[in-house]
Amino acid sequence: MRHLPILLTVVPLTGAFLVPVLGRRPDRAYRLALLSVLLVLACAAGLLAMTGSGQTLQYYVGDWPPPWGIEVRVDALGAMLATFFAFVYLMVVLYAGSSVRAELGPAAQFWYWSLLLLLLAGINGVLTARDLFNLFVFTEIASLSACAIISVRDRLDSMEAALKYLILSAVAGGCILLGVALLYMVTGQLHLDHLGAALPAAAGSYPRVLLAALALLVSGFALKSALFPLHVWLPDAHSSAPSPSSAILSGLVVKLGIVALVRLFFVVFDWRRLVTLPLPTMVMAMGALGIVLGALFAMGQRDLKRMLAYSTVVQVGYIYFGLALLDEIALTGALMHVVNHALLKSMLFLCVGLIISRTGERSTAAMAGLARSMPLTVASFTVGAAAMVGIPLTNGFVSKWYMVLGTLNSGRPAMVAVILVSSLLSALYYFPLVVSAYFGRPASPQAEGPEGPPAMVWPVVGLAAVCLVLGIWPELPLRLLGGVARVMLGL
Amino acid sequence: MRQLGATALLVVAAAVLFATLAEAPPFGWQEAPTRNVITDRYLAPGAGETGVLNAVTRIIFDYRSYDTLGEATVLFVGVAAAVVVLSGRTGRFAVRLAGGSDDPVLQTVTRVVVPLVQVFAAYVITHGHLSPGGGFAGGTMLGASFVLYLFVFGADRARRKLRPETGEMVEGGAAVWYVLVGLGGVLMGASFLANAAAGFPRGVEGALLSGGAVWLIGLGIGVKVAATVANLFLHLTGED
Repeated sequence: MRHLPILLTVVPLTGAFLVPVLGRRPDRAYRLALLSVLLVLACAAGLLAMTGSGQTLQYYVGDWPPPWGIEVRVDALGAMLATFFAFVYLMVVLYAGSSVRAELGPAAQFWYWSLLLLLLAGINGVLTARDLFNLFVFTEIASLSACAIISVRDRLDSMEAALKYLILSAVAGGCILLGVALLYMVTGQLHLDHLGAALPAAAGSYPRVLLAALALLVSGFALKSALFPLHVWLPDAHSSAPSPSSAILSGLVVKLGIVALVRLFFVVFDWRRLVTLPLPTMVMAMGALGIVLGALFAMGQRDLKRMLAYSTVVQVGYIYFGLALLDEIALTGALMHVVNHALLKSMLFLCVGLIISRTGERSTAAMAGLARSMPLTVASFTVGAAAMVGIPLTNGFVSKWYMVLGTLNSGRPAMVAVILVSSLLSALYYFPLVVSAYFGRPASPQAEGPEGPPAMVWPVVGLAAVCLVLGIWPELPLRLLGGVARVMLGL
Repeated sequence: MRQLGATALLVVAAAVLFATLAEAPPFGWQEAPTRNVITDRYLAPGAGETGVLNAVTRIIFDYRSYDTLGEATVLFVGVAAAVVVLSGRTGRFAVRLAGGSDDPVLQTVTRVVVPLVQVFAAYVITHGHLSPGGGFAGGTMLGASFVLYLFVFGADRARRKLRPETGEMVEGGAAVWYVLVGLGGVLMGASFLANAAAGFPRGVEGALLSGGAVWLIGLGIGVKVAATVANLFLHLTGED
């Protein structure tokens, strides 16, 4: 049990390395991936049970205590995100088991499973890292494999999007590495807690170095998490990837930059000192711009996947907005939104994947009249749309409500307008789709038969069900995340 | 206009970074913040608590072995991504090499050089805990000897020496080896990737068989990096 924190990364890494050795046939590689993801989910759930009682699990890799060795730490935030992310992963892997055969060439198939596992290892590595350089290494593993699962499709637009993403994420990686190097230069520490303890002394002697390091780290991680206006790579990358990849990229991978910045802001750079800088205001402004402008861009899209991709820009904006308020309630809401958006956006991308594989179209017009032939898919899509807008009884409502309350609580009533206007705009691009799916007339005669392979339909329904459950009974995760928020703010 | 803006932005960024570096602690300064308890322990004279004489190897394969596992993974991701992009595509992205060279001088010299390079690479890999070099450097040499063979004798003959499937299996296997050595620490009752703490023998200072798990991991990394280099070039020179 002591080794659970490290198993979160070691299990998917082993699975990924074993794929080219044992799983050179796609079906065997799939079974290997499924087994690894199930094990990760079990580990994460165990960790959630332990951290739920207020425990924080520390693990010294190689038995070297910090500051000499690398510590891996699982707190309530890490355990909760790891559990929900592993659940999303399980659903996506089940879905992809049927869909990659149609979307990918035979040679790319077994490598796809290996890359998915590598990405999961990168995600869990970022969630559990307590050492700045280790955080950088796992961020790079995640970014590289994220590029790879876009380029697996043998199409030029996927290649182009992956290349654009690769170049920008390399720039971001360079910024982060330089920031880490500068911080190490003036403190001699890499462990986050020791770094945070050494910063006040360093701030006296090297104020400009610290500012530059902060700027480099913030811009690097903001670029990786597509904070407006650094989102330009996202719509292409997320819309041209195969649907299971889109679900993971939009739902999980953009969150890694956010988690890394949360660790930096609240562990390394004491927020009370941050407040003397205009940084929270800047992040809040960028978040607010992303919320409003992202929604306007999304309204203009005629391609379902591009629309969802722009919607991700909006939701990332919400999360940054909630974080930058530096208020306990808003912070709880923002962290909850990380979980909620992971479930919602992956579910919506899988829905659209089902629609595309059945109708062969990816335009918004393809939704018309689909409710009769694809009832489960459209019902799930409706749940997702309602949650994105923030209708009560969905999980999206809970996190947005907390962010509204937090905005009021922190004494910025004018900013509530941003959230409300954006919800209205979301309604303007999500609801016409739902309405036309139920009441519209199909453009072409619809194929008879089931809406898709059960292995593709049921994961979508499963994700939608969890979204509803979290919308109706949000107390437990909110209580956990509220505790995390209080610890982060030092209350 | 766009290029002008981008250039201006880069000049400003460079100016800011130069201003930052002007403030940096001087190079090699005895009282620099990086000279602290961490480096004192890392750079302790002799083989010390790790049993590894080479201080760099000691840091990357023992104190910070987890990061090195991550870096080996980055290489693995890179090759997996390249294979996925290049495989099954009819020469659109791959460079088709001509069938090598017919030059007898080149071929003869290569025949002599390749084994020498490989022997030296094996030396560098197996002595990583004692002298400069190690798995990454030696593995690159081993891979480069194969690349030299590939360029001189052509992709088809190189492919008969090392099939791409075999290369991929070796690479995956070597990476699994790293994890297994790490799990050995867990089996012996210590933490993942523990070395002396788990009871791996430190050995006699300066002996070939010393350094415990570090020596084993170095072997794996050597094989893995060699396979990485070889695989990358095999796939870049086109599919059958």
